[in-house]
Amino acid sequence: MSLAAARLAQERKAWRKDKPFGFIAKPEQQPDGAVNIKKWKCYIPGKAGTPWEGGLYPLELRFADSYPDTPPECYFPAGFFHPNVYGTGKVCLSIVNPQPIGSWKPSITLAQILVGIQELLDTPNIQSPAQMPAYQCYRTKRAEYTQLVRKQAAQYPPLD
Amino acid sequence: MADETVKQEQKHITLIVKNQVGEEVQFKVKLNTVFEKVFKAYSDKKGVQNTKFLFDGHRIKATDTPADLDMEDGDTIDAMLEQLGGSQRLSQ
Repeated sequence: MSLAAARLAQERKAWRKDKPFGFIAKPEQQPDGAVNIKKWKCYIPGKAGTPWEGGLYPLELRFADSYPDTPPECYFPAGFFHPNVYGTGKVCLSIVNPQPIGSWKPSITLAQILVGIQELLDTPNIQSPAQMPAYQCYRTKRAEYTQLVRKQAAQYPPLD
Repeated sequence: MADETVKQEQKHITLIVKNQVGEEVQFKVKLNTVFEKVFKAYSDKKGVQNTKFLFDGHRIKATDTPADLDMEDGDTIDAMLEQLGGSQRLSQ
């Protein structure tokens, strides 16, 4: 087993024993039943008391063979409305950006990444926008921004 | 072969049920125990109704068993309050 695969198996084990409430994270299951440990399907719940509340946001983590030396790439669905998410859905966040731009460290766990991204939802970094629509709306029309965030939350209802 | 199956089913595992505020209740169950029993024990203990139980994002059915869901010792389950957004539609 490669180093990346071994670490990911360990992350999965740790996750099953202790995970943040309401979050989901598991390696992708292929149609033939085989598990692809390099691609994880995750869901992040919006924090209570924020306009993101009520949404369960799908996030895909893609791990390279060089993980954990390099961070996973984290993707919301394309077009996701948030100032620090690129048009492709890719999340721009210090803890999942490689050094020296970011602050990724191999010791960062999956739970830390997912909780970090949950935190980012309601606390965007406006100094480093990744898309225009959400950035401009946040800057100039805050009420409308909040409205759009609520609308987006409704588009991602909890699984049942 | 038959003996082995019986042994497997009688094995106990501990499951941890966690709620929104992080409170945990542990249950020692057999792999072939139906969840209906766990649900009942949980609501009796916590005094709550209308709870849904999620494992790996799937809602656990009363008829499921830990073996059905490939559960292992120490696995965690989320206990969420059933809630409905918005207000109920008023009749006209």
